[in-house]
Amino acid sequence: MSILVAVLDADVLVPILSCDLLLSAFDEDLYRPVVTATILDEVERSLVEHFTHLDPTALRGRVAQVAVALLHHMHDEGDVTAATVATVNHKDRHVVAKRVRRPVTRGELIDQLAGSFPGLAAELLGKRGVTGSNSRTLPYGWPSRLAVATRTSDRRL
Amino acid sequence: MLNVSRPTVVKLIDDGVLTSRKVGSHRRITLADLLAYRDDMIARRRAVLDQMSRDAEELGLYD
Repeated sequence: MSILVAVLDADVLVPILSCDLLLSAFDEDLYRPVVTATILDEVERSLVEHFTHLDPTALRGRVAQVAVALLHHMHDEGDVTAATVATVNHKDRHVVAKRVRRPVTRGELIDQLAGSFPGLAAELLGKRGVTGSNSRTLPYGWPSRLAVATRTSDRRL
Repeated sequence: MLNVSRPTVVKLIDDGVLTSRKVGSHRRITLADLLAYRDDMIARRRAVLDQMSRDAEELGLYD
């Protein structure tokens, strides 16, 4: 079975909702993530810079949790270009190494996922009947942890 | 089935995490071993993701 392969750059792992959504989609085997130690270092720096009122140790702990969740999906730096990811995963038909632009609301995030991850779009927007920007309810079957994240659905991230 | 790359599976075998036997040039893993490893991997991952969500809420990252 071919599966979408996507590089999760720091841009998509720093916004908490984006990170939660992508990790949840990965947990449902909707795609195969690729990250590097450098990406996670950048995530850590960005979180510490963004959440200046929080203890950096706690934010580093979050990054460590991301690393554990993505165990087996850490790649060497040299592997992570669109070309070499295609080489590493040469049996996969769909290889995507696009960034999701910084999301604004949950609905817009879904729209961006739809544009950047066609496989996810088919799964999230097709089978589950979610309607992009107009969505205000949690799609049936999404993990409960997203219920927490989507409380912010109408706020700007 | 594991949603990991082929090199990762090879590494798991080489590290002794997954047990395999060689048939010619191919490595064979029993279905039972594979399913057991997959279930364990998913359980550990979900525990981490759930903890992440709880921690994020406590830290106010969703506010």
